[in-house]
Amino acid sequence: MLKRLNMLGASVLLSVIGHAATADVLLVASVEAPFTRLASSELTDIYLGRRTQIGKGLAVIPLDQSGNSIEREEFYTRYIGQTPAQIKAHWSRLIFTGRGQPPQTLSDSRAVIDRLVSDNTTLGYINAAYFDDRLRVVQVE
Amino acid sequence: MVKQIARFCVVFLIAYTSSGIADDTYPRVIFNGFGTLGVVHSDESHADYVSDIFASKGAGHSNDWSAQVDSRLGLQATLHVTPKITSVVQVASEKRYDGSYAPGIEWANIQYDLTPNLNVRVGRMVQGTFMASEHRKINYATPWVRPPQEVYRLIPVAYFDGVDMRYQYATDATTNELRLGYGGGSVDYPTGSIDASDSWGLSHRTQWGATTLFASYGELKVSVDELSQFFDIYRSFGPPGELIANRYEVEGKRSSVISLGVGYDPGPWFVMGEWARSTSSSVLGDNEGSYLTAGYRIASWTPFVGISRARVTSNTSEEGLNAALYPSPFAEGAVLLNDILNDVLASGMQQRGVTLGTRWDLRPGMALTAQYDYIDMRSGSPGGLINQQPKFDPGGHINLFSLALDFVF
Repeated sequence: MLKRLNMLGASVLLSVIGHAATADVLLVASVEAPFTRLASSELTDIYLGRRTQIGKGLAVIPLDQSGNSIEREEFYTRYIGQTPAQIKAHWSRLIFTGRGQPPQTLSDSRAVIDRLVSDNTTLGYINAAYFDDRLRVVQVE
Repeated sequence: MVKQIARFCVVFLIAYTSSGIADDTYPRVIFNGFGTLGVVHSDESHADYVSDIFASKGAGHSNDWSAQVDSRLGLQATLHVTPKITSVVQVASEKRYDGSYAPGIEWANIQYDLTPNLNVRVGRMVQGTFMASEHRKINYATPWVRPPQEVYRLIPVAYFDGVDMRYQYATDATTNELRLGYGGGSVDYPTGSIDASDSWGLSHRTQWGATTLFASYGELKVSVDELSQFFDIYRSFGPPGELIANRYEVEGKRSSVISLGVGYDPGPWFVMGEWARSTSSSVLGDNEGSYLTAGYRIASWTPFVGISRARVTSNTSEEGLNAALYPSPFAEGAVLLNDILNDVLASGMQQRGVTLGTRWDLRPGMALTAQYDYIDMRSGSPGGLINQQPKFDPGGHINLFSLALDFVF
């Protein structure tokens, strides 16, 4: 019994540590991307699949990172204001009613950068440590 | 025609299953699934509580604790044929009217995108009558163990074979979807089937920041073989019988459903509510249902509370034939017919409900929900309970305990 309690304590402690670890996440696009800023509602609509265009018909393709990355949790919590569980529930409402699939998932920040640089219409989030001069931070208003 | 398309979708999917998986090649196929493992206890032991009115058994009489009320498994294949052509096939296995778990087709259609904002679909679709109609079986996507029955029971046939059109448009502050559908469908129950033909529906959804606004209107022609036969017997009683048959006949009459829904979800908490009304100048009558649910999110826990109400606004009894005017055995026959007609009229859902529950998101894609429902049946209504035993007393109240593990993948 005591052993179990210890294990429980350890796992609670681990989950607290896990949550405490955060990454500094930046919303970025290629320096050549035709957009430099987004309204907060536009960003939410783009990542939740409600909007594929901004302004006067400018297409923006969102990129995602793999399901259990710290970057992903940080991005959705900070920029979209929803937990990964809420995002999962949101997408299951769309997937199972034939309304589409979630943004394309890439393995990590490096893979996102490669895609951003090769495609001007894409938008992504990366760990700030990987930021370089081929990218531009997209302002959210 | 539509059934052939549904079959074609399935064949097409199987044929292409083995092709590319990469994210931007065509054709490509994506598989998803959803399901619920749930148990329910009802303290009413003389009748069964069911979530699907056409299920053969439920909780209460048949089983003290029943795993058959909410458990189901669904699988979906989404095939992207070209950037503009998509096909969705979804099958779900759950307790059916015949007691089996034989899978049924929920969605099977081909979609063509005329523009990025306008698409048409042909095949089988689920009606968009209520705010959560289309995803009512994906319990993971809703806060409750099951959608409030007071509203979601108003429509007997949820899917239709036909065509629909969806138009999405955005303003600076809102994103909107307009959906128009036309078709027909049918559903089997132990002693017959209910057909909905010539049905159309229009729905509109607006997302405005944290606010969702929903409205829909639809009309359908319902026909129930058993009821048609029943009213034919009434007609054999001459003009008074014909008068009653014409008044309550279902065949050939149009029914309508109107519904309104609102949701507000700023993140840390949410509230949602719906009101709906079905109207039919037949024995189906006029029914009204509504609910309001509010929840609060604390880390991975989402406790919620809800109230709901259903009532029949048309007459729930009928004098029927005057048995004194007929000789035996027609007099006894008239009494029997009147009794059955009154039973059907009184069987509409009239109740108030209170729901308390909490959801626990174990991890993305999996949640455990515990829920308590208090259902107070009014005006002698059986409240949608089935397998009513002689000792069952309509108009009472029941306590319902539900536990469900919902998942999507």
